[in-house]
Amino acid sequence: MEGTVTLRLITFTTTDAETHVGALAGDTAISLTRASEGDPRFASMLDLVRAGEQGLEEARELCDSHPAYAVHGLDDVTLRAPLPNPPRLRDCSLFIAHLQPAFRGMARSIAVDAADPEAEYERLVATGKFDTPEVFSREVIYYNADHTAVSGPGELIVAPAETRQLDYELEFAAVLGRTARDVAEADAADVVFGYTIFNDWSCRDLQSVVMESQLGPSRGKDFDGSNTLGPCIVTPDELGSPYDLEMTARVNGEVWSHGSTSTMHHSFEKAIAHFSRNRTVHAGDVLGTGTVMSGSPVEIGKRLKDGDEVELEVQGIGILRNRVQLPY
Amino acid sequence: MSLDLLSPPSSAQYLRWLLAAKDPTQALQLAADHVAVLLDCPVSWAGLVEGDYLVMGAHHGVASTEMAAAWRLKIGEGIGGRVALERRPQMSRDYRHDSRRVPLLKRLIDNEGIQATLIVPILVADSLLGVLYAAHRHPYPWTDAEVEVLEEIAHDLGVRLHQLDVDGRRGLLAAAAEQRAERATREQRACAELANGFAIHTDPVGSLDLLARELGGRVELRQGDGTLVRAAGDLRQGNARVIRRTELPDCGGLTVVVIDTRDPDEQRQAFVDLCIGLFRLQVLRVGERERTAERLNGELFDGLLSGRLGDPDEFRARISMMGIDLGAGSLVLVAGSRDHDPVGRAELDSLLRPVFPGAITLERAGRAVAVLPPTGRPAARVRAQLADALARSRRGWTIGLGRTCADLLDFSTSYDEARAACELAVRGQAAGSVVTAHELGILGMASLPAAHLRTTVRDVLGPLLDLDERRGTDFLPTLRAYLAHDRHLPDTAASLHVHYNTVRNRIARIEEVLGVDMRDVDHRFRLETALRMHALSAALTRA
Repeated sequence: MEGTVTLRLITFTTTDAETHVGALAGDTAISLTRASEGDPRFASMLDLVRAGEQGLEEARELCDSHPAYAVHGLDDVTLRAPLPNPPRLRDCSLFIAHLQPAFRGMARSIAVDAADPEAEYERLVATGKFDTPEVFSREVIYYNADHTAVSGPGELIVAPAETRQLDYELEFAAVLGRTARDVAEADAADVVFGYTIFNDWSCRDLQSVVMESQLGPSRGKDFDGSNTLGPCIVTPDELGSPYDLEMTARVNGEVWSHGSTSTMHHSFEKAIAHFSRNRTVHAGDVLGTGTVMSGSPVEIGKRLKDGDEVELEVQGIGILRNRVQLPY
Repeated sequence: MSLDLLSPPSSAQYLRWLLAAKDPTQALQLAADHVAVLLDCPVSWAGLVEGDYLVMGAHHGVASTEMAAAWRLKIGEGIGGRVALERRPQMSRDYRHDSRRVPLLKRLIDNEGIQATLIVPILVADSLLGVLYAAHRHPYPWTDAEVEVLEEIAHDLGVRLHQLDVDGRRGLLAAAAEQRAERATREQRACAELANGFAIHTDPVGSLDLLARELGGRVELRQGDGTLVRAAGDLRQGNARVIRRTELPDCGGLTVVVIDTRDPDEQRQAFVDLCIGLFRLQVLRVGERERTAERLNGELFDGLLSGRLGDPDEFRARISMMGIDLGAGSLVLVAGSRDHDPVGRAELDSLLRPVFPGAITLERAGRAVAVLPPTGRPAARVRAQLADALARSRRGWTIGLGRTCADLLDFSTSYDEARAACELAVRGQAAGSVVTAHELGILGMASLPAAHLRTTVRDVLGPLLDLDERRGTDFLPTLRAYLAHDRHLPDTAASLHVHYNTVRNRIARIEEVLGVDMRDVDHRFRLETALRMHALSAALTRA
């Protein structure tokens, strides 16, 4: 049986407001925090990630053999962001096919207010500011997302009062399991601790204003709860290849976005090699893939309404579900 | 003590007791106790199959509460797990040198001081029910005879457990059926109570609270465009999800959203649907009642069009419950006739209904007024459709069209603009059958109080108005024509049917009386604005 136990790791709270790191098993949640009787390596997901391969090995053993009181019904607990406090959260452009329609979509929403929207759109496109710069295919571009603004499954996403266009972004993410430097691309797969779903909530109107500064999306993507992770972290042995997974976004049950991780232009391995060159990457760092083609309403000319329920599904990981509260 | 001497009477007694056991727990306990006596060992316990695991069923002689509470072993793992998987006995003569053990149980069992175990499966035919343990707190060489005895106990236990399980399952099925029936009755009663609650509740908003109380979780009422009308109820612990989203037919796009932390089963779903159905009836009933009251005293729309809404959320909820959509994109129009025959509300209603279903018509300040719900069409298209409808009706009416409303507070502005445009148009001061404040250049003036308009007009044009009134001069029409013809003297003269020099003299006199210079763009702007205010003030005063 050795080595065949695979893990779908979660963070959850019980009715007594205690937070546990655990694993999904059917319709139950096994608390590794309780099963290990307070072993500090199982105090939080970040502790487990930092405990390395040996920590994972023990987590597998605890999943096999644990006290009866470490088992909770899934209905009796609240799943939280599996890794609520990553030391760093980078959102990368590993998918690049979506960039052009996303940039054009933003041009279109800016042009809407002009007297002649079509002419204004043509003018904006002609400036070249809404094309995808070539550097995106040459190297792995990323920005630092707000790692203090992480939300989890089922949480209400409250858009900032000043926005009039909140979007979801259908992404998934790798969690790094090791602190390392100068990782070769061929060895980079060993650095991945697991994979989770990532919703990079974005205020398009605020984003297009601040992006003119050429200093990133800043407050267009930074607000409380703007980065949703979950519902679980799946270890690589459980997931298999991360490069052939279906990705789907549904709004109120209707499919809005559909894509595949096979369309990624850059791999996680390439990103890890690139980011660790002469620099340190840390255990617990999260690398978002960026949005899959058609993975955001701005690309497909749709808009979320107040109270909409957004579900992101990535094959083999699960469904990340949130509702939005919009000020418009 | 010899096994042969003890076992026959004890076994017979064990069987009698087993037969008397009322449930599996009792039977397991009897077996564990019997193992201790028969094999003369201090500790015994039975693990029962639960999914992929063995869980503690009963125990004898266990010293720590932790062992009883925490013992749980995956089938296939450790020694007991292998017994379950392979369905044959296994023993450990000395635990200290056994590599098969799993970490958690190793600790539990070491704490118990157990050093030797004998474990057999509890089987009935081909199915595995659990495993039975005998244990010593010192190394112990188990004999074949002991293995046989333990297997026999396990066998008898298995047969009784199977029997109890068959009986139990029958009992469970009956209990489940009874539970379902009880639940159905409870839910029917809840529906009846909800219906009664609705019957005595005419407050449209309170009805949602009643619905939320019956359903549990959070219930939201939203307009077609997603705008929240009202929410009621709180969420329990867990991950929130929408379990039902139902648009209420014939209720102006109103949608009920039920949010809970647990997925409903089929029966629960049916109950939720029934409650939502009752709520829809309530919306229709209360809506009809409110509409009747509105027809009688027009209080709600009076508030809307005069900008005195009170609590906007409360207002929105009432309007929504009437099945009226006042979402972003609504606008107000006022209809009048150039031949001064008043336009009736009913006539306007029949003109609009085919083109703008859902339009609300009412009478206000002697004019027929309509509120158009959001059409999703551009303003220019709405206007063209109105002009079309007017042309087809051959009625010669004029419609003043207000601005498109983004929220409730815009309706009074939209109404003021529509009314001002209509009043100016029926006095022949605008061409076309559909006019807006924007094209009449009175945008922003339409909502000013009459006294404010009059004062501003007097401040700018006062001396001129006095002259015209006292001496019967035509300075005001001259000024209006002069500015309308962009200070072109020949065109102004032609439009007034007077001589070129007359116009020049009058303009010089106007400049002198008002202290203005027509070459100064600021002065011209002030005069132009005052002229429009004058026209507006006159039209609204006479209206």
